[in-house]
This record gives sequence, C-alpha cells and structure tokens, in this order.
Amino acid sequence: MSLLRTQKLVKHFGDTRAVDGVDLIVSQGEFLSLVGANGAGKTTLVNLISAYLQPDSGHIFFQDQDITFLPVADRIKAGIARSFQLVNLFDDLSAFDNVALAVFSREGKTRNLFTLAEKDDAVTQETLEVLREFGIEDKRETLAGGLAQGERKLLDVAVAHALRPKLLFLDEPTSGVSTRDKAQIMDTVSSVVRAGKITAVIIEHDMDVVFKYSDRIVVMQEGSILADGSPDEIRQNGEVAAMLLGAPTST
Amino acid sequence: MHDARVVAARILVLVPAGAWVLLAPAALSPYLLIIWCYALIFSIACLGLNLVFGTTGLLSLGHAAYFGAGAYAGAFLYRFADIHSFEVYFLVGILTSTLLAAGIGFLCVRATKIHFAILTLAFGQIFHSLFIDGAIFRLFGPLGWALYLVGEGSMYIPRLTILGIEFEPEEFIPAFYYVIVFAFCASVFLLWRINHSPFGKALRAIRDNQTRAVYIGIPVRQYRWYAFTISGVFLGLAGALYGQLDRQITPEQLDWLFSAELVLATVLGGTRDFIGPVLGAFVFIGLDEIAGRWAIGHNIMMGLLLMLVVFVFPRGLAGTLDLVPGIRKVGLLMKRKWL
Ligand SMILES: Nc1ncnc2c1ncn2[C@@H]1O[C@H](COP(=O)(O)OP(=O)(O)OP(=O)(O)O)[C@@H](O)[C@H]1O
Ligand SMILES: [Mg+2]
Repeated sequence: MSLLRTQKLVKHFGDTRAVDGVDLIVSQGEFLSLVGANGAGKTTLVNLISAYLQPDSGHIFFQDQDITFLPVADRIKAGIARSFQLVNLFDDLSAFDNVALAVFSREGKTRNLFTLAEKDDAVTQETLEVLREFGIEDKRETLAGGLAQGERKLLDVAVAHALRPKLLFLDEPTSGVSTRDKAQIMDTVSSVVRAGKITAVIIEHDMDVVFKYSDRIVVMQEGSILADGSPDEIRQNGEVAAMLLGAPTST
Repeated sequence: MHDARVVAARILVLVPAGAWVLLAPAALSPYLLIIWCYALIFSIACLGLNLVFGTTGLLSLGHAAYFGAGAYAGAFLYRFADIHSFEVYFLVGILTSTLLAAGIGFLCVRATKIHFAILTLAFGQIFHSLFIDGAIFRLFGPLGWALYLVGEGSMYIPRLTILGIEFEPEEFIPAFYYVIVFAFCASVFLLWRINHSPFGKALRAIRDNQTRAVYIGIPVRQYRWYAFTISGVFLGLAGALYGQLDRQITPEQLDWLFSAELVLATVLGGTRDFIGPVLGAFVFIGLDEIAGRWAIGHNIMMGLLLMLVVFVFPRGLAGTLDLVPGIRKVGLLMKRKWL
C-alpha cells in the first residue's frame, strides 16, 4: 500500500527545473534511498513534501489524503517528519532538551506554562530512551552546539524520530563525518527505523551505504526520476550505475 | 547527605535575604528605602523584558510603553472615576499594559531580529508621542486637556488606600514597601515557573533555531506573541508599582531611552541566567545612585561606571559570578529539587 504519493510535482527556481514532474511512490514500511548527483533535486523534493516549499504545480497524497496545501504543523501531526542536510539543532540547549522538546511538542504539552518540564517523568523517560537508542545518552547534558559532528548528525535524526512519525525523511544523515562514523550512524539509524517499523526515505551519496541498507532505490537526475528499483536492479542497470559511480560525492 | 547540603544552602541564602527584606524599612533611611523599592520594581521590569529578550531571542526597544501604560492607566482612572483603591489602580494598570502588549505584540512578532526591534521601537515611540502631544488626554474632554496643559503630560497620583487602609504620609512608603516585596516575590516565582515549563523551553527552542522549532511542531509566531503578552503583564505590574511609589508619572517613563535602560540593565546582569536581570537591575540602580553624587556630569559618570562593569564582567554579572566556585556551588544547590 502506498503511504505517500506525489503526482506530477513541479518546482522551478527561475530557469532551474529543480523538481520537474516527479511521480514518487513510497510504500508502507520500506527503507527507500533517494540518490542522484549534486543539484538533482533530492532536497527540493523533500522540501516540497515537508511543506518547506510550495510546489508550482502537482499534488502530494499521504495515506490517500491530499496534503498539497496543508501547512507544516498539520503535516507533522499527520506523521511526516524530517531531518536536515545541514544539521539543524537547538544549539544552546542540551542534547536532552533537544529531544525532550520534540516529545513535549508531540504530546501537545508545550502550552503548559506553569508545570515544571523536568518533573514530567513520562517525557523524561521517553527522552532518555530515544537518546539511548541513538547511543548518545551519555551526552545528554552537553549543549547540542558542543557535540562532535557525528553526534550532531545522530541527534538531528533523534529529534525527528522523537516525533514518532509514520514517514521519516533523512537528508544526508552521514554527510561530513568520517567513514567509521558513517557506518555507525547508518547502523544506528537503520536499526531504529526497522525496530519502530517506520517508513524511511533517506538521501545519500555513498553508494556502498545505499546498496547495503535500502529496500528500494530511486535515482533522480535534473529534477526527474531516472530509475526506480531494488538495489540489485539498480546495480545491474549499467547506464545508471555508471552515472552514479561517476558522480561527485557528498556535498 | 545531599538534602542536608541543599537545606544548608537555602538557609545560608534565604535567611539573611529574608531578614534583610523584612528589616529594610527600619534599617534604611527614607531616601534609601525608596531607592531600594525602585530597584525591586526595576528588576521586575527587567525580568519581564527578558522573557522576550533572553529567552525568546527578540530584542524589544519598546517595553517602556507597557511600563508606562501600567502607571498611567490607573492615574486616569483615579482622575476621572475618582477611585482611591490601590488594588483597583494596580489591576487596571496590569490589564491595560497586557492588552496593549497583546495588540502591539500581535503585529511585531510578524518580524524578527532587527526588524522586530525597529517595529517595537516605532510602536513605543508612537505611544510616547500620544502622551507628549496630549492626544491621549483629549480623549477625556476639556478636563483631560486642561490636565495635560497643567502637567505637560505628567500626572500626579495621591497615596491610595492599600487593602482599604489609609496610611499617614510617613507610614505610607514602609507599608507600600511590603506590597512591592510581595509583588517582586510573586513575579520571580511566576516567571521562574514559566522559564522552567515546557513552554519556556519551547521559547528557547524558537530563539535557537526557528526553522527546526517549526519542524517539531511548535507554533513559533503564536508562542512569540504569548511571550510578548506575558512580558507586558509584568511590565505593567512594575509600572503600576512605580506610579504609586513615585506618585508622579511623566512621559519620560514611556520614552525609548527607558526601554534602552531596561535592555542595558538586563544585558549587564546576563540574559541567559534566570536571575541575571535582577542582578543587573540592582547594579544599574546602584550605579545610577553613585553617579548621582556628581551633580554635574551625572551621565558621564554613569557611562564610565557602566563601561567598568562591562569590562570586569564580560559574561554578564550572573555568568561571571557563576565562575566563582563557592557561589556556583551554592547556586547549584539552590536550584536542586526546588519546589
Ligand atoms: N531556494 C532555492 N533557490 C534557488 N535555487 C535553488 C533553491 N534550492 C535549490 N535550488 C536549485 O535547485 C537545484 C536542485 O537543488 P537540490 O538542493 O534539490 O539538489 P540536491 O539533489 O539536494 O543536491 P545535493 O546533493 O547537492 O544536496 C539546484 O540547481 C539548486 O541550485
Ligand atoms: Mg540536497
């Protein structure tokens, strides 16, 4: 069953056809990788689905409901969450508070003016649980701005995960980290996603990573979908493989 | 073990502080008692401002308007409705400033950063000019206009009754002092709770990263507006106390220079620590007193003293004090398991 479906989605920036008539289908429960050269339109596509940008035309359906014109807050409530290509955290708050805020917000508790945040045991427990799942529990008191790059990347995903989304978009969760950290981040992320039965769409440049973790791969080029298939099918598609392996890596 | 130290720290801080607060009217000269009262009022205003400034990350240059509204509203009520109760004066002041802050805030939170600062400044100055040119007084007919002409926009308030009691002139300030202390404690308590609530954390999230705040589902603009309005409550409260303490309200209290003083004192104390604005307010008033000893060059002295403080305490008073091991320890113990 399709969880998300886009229909002839278009977004141009002047002469740049960032997204040019994309029909993307994301099925329930899959781990999908979105790949393509720099500037292929991957981030723009995610920006459209997460309401960061409005499309020029086309439609977005989530669980068969047209969400094209829903504002961000409603899309989050519907169950769509995302992380960002450039780490986007609350830098002067602790790792704990970064995650706790997502939990408070999801539970509609940020309107509480006079209750003490730290007295909310349910939120505290859940926050610690999320930090544990991502292996950064010992950094809970550290300000997000003071974490190492790999930890920041994990925390960015953890914040999105704490919203308990049905559909999670991760825009290059491993960019800018060492090869060793990359494997660790991907192992963590994929185990969390699979354990939570979350549908995930991940943008990634490293094809080793993509082939290893994905159920399905969608290849974009100049705003359009060039190929779509299982890792094996993509690997065997000579033209696509050549383009991907020849493409410049991580931005 | 733990708890014994927490209790010890609280006794160490709260007993002397409490004793001082209770005995101040006896210990201070009438003049110094007024300065002390003014410092308490000024710190409520700075704490209120900091909910918008340090916590939500919006620099307001127009908070004098809400302070002034709190002071003026009751004065008009006294003049034109002949009401002599401080409680009514006080509540009307708070209500007026809250409504004003809600209205102006609704428009200002549409902008951020420097644009927000400019908008708050502009609205503040518009409000100020209504008093300077007397437009507000015209609303009250010929009598209001006459009042404006006599006082050039300033207004006089008598000593009102407190809880229905009429105090003798020399008894009034010592009695009113306890009203101020109560308002100060209540304000500190409420703002402390707000700061440590999920809402307070959400405001910090908005300050740090607006985009991400939106993407965890925080209604950013709405919460900015709430913060601005709540801030207006405390500015109005401080203004109403000030009006009764000084008994003479002038348009000066509405001018952007006063807004700037609030910002200055808050920065001086430290915007990132809850208690910073209180420290800043006290030091600011203290320096102003010291500078006031020089009849000529008061402002130059004040400028020099402020520079000195900024150089000695680059992280704000609260931030720098936090580096002193003993104080830091006591501070941490005070915070622990509080309430
Ligand atoms: N806000 C914008 N304004 C103008 N042009 C934009 C904007 N956002 C993206 N573009 C352009 O749209 C095209 C697609 O960009 P996008 O960021 O979606 O690519 P991407 O596939 O995510 O690339 P990368 O792998 O480098 O992150 C690029 O040519 C980019 O320069
Ligand atoms: Mg991108």
